Amino acid sequence: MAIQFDAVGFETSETIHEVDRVSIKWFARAIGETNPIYHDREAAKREGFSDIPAPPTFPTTFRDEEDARLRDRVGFDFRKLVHGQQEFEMPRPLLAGDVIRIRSRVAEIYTKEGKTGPMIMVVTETTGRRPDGSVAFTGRSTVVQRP
Amino acid sequence: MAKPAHFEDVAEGSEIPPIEKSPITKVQLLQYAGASHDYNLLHTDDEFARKAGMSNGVIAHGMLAMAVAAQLLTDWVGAANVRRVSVRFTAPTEPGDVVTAGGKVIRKYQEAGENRVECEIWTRTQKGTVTTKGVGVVALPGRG
Repeated sequence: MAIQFDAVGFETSETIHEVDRVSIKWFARAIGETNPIYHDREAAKREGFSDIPAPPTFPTTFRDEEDARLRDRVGFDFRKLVHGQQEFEMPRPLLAGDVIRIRSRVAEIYTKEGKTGPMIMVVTETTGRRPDGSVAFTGRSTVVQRP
Repeated sequence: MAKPAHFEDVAEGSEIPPIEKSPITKVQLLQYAGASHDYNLLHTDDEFARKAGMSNGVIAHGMLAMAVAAQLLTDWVGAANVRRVSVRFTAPTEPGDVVTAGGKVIRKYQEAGENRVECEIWTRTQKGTVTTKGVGVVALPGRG
């Protein structure tokens, strides 16, 4: 299936994610983080956190059926995909216990000439909100479909 | 440069203390796949990776290299103070690679009522290959 350029503007339905200590612990372990604040609540408290904080790239774990629906809509071929760029912005770290409402949107699809032919760049923006509506994080991802 | 407690402790052009990670292992890539829910077989199945054009087999998740770039910042100023991490993935990381991260202060400015510091950040492997290149923004309290 080819990339569907008319997927620009496609928006997922909102999904709800609860940040939990166990997920943070295993994520931290997988990225080789040994800082105790990611698994020991007392260590986190000593650094001024009310609970275990999440590492800055933790929002990448919020993948769900809506994310899969977005990828299907765009028409990615997994054999030809590479992650081009990623950005996360947050006013403060996510903490265990946070409940975040997430929605993603296909912001842009464009073609760039690569060494072996045209590369298709798909830009997706994700916003996570707290129950009061304030922004918990924003993400911007560029995925490249190679020829 | 020691861990800066205050905005005034950071100078434009100064280096962020670099970090070095343990070698990437295939088991770690399985762990990362599970922990991040990124199950693209490019990172866990050598046969799939070779068919996708990776002659040495699986490559690490780009996000794993980005996590190291982010850790550079959290180690430097503390996990509470990182506001933005933005990278471009410039080359793949392979099992066995030792990833290091480094960076440099670009500018100091005010934003969202905070003292903010913008930095250039990067990760590279022991072969000298730059794997990510980007920008980080941290916030630091003023001395006053």
